[in-house]
Amino acid sequence: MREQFNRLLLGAICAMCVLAPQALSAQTSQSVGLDFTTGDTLVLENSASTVDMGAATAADYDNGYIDNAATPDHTLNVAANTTWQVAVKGDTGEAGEAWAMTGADCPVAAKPVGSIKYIEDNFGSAGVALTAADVVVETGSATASQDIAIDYRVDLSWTVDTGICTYDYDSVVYTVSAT
Amino acid sequence: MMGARVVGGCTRVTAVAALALSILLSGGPQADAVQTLDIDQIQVTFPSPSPSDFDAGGVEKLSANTLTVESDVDWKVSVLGTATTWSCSGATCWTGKPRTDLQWREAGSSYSALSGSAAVVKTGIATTPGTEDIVIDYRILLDWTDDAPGTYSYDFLVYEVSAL
Repeated sequence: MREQFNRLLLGAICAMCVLAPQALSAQTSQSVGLDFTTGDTLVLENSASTVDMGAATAADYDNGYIDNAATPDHTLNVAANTTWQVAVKGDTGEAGEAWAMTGADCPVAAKPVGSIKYIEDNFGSAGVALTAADVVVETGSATASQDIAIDYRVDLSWTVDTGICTYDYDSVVYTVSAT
Repeated sequence: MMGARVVGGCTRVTAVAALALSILLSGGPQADAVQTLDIDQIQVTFPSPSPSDFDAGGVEKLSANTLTVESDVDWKVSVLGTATTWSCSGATCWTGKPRTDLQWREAGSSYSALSGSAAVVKTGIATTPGTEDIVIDYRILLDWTDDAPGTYSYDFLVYEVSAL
């Protein structure tokens, strides 16, 4: 009986030896998980909302276009966490497909949006005519900041752009999207 | 004789047992310390970052966790990250987002980048019979050119309480 008691006592003590540290350490650490989801994140900013092309001169008519001294006319800036493209169109939903004309002596014929020529980084080439459909201006990869310099020319004709008239087109729309 | 040896053995064994029990109950501080660390939630989900979060360089979640310490000895709570990178899913997600893009702080203090080595979050004196709460803020660093679209997770942030 005494032997049995001793074994029982030792067994109880040893059980405490094994179990006690586990019980003390079981809640002394905690693990945490963190998560987030990011989608296509794109920002397009514009340095100016209005471009004044100035008053047309005889020389402009001779050249076939009017430009202005500003270079560039405005600058777009893209930030994106993915590949992107910037497109431009003449938004027919807002202003129609032609310039607005004000003045007593404006031409009868509508001045089309295609008379607006735009191009990046000054006119080293003929430029691209604005249309009612999106045209890609620039593409790129993920960036914190990329500038796109835009210049404009507007077609002029002695025979079409007659009279004393103010022309206005308010719907050149740039859009950035993921590619 | 047999009976006497048995009795003698029993006496020695009892003495050893008593000594062992004594050590167990009143021995060194490690065996004596009663410490627990609780946490209010084990999964923290950040909102989807906005462009302004990218511009600011990160997204923050204040009071994201509350740790509760109970200790009958002076204590410290430490934190470490056991994986070097985040996990991500998505065709173009950034598989190399580093552990250090996760920053932590006790609310009101300065952020520290998560490390693979234990960093002390807070120390304190014995709390018993009460407890002490530690409020934790997190910040995830973001970069326009690195953090491509995807779902990112870091499941290896470990807090531990120990005796000072």
